Amino acid sequence: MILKLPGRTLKGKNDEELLEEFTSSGSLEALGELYSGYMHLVYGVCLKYLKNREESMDAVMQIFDKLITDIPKQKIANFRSWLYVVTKNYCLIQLRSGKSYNEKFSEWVQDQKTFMENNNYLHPVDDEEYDNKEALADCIERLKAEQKECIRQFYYENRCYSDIAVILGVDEKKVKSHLQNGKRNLKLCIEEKNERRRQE
Amino acid sequence: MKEEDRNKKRALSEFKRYVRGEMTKRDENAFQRKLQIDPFADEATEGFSEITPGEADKDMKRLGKRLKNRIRPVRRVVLYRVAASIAVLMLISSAFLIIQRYKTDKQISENIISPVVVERKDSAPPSLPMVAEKVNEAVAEPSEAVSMITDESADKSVKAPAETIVATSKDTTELLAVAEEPDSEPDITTDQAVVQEAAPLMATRMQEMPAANATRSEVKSRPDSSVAPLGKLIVAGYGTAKKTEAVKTGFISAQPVTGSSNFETYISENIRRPQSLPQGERAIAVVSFLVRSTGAIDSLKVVNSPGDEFATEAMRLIREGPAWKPAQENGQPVDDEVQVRLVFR
Repeated sequence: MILKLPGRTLKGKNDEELLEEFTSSGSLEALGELYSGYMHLVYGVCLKYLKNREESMDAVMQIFDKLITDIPKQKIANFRSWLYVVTKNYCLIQLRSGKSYNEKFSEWVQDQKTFMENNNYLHPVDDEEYDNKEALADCIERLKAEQKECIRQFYYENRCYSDIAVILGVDEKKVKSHLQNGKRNLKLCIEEKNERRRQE
Repeated sequence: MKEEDRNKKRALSEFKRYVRGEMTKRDENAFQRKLQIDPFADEATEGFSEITPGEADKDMKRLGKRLKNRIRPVRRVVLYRVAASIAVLMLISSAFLIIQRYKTDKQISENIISPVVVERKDSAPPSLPMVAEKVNEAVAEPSEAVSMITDESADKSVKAPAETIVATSKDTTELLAVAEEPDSEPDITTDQAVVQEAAPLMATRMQEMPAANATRSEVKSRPDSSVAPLGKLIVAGYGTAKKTEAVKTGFISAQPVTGSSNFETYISENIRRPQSLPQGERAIAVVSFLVRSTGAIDSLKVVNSPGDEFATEAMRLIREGPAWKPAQENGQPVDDEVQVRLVFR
């Protein structure tokens, strides 16, 4: 082919390849292509924390600049998760003053490892292959009423947040926090059960 | 690799649908389950819930532009490369044209050309001498395009001599070619002009004689070149951008209200490929219809198609497709006949 359009050839590439291209050649095109796939997520997270459209848009661009300088310095295993950490970190620093950015940032990089582990942990309720259904059902029964109801509606009746909110007469955000707390309690309950079984 | 790319695209469109509230309750639950284990997307949806979907769209567009501007310096380098490639392609094409013209002179003296049945009825008589019709085809692989040109000319083309080609490009994807024919060939009563666009800025023009070619749907025939009606053929197909434009002052032909490039996108995204068409093969259907001065679509019919399924699909695409802006002559809306060529691939 006589004509090799970089724009086109970048299109089919996956994250690792784009990242590799950026680190080896410094191609902003490659980084831009990579970033554009996640820009909506970055913007959404910025909106959540900064609660201002203009500021959030500026933040999205500043985070891009941050990537240009930071990517070469680190070994990135999973760009998406890493970008999440960078984004959230950026927003929190915008909100809280105090420690300097770089100080904060190195803390976050430290956290990244634990964060990734947490992130990859699949909760029994989310894991459809989970084999100990009895233990799970029992633990669900032990939950607080509203948490139990939210888990039941969401995972067993396949209802969305807004429907559950209407049924229970609470706010959508409450539904989410009940789910979150319910899942945390379930995890504790199941771990306890497993522990007990091992001792017997 | 492709799979991954597709997944990413699917995730993005899912995300957009969720943010816009376009999902069914079931899908919403399924998506929220994913959010439960994906804090990045989860927090992002929370952020978007603070603004309206309209604002979200606008902001994402602005961000896209800002990102593009940020990486622009690299783009310029790309443009140089494009320009260099185009220069090479132009050279090849002009060499090709010279050879073709040489052939033509020989062939015309040997051939007797018979007129062919006219397909086209048109109400608008032209005010300018002659307008030729063109098909621009953007072909992804330049080398492929060159070979196509060679094939076609070897098979069936008789070239008309002494024609001028003026090609102007509006941008890299759109090309408008204007061809003028002198009346030096009164015995040539029909013609077809095909402009093959091998690269965005390159155009080659061929005159194909109808005798060998009457079955091809895109052949536009004229009984008498001096009163040739103005015609237009819009060509749309998956993966290729094709376009025909007739040029005449004071007359603007009927167009999809969405613009022709969006219309092509609509076709390529909505065309359903009939099962009966073997993988890797392509088929072409041509439909014609009248765009009334009111904008109404009338007399929709299939001019040519390989089978019923194709015909039905072609009609469906037009019927369900974007509305049409009526043609204008000297500022007044007038009826216009449009042909659309659909490529199933």
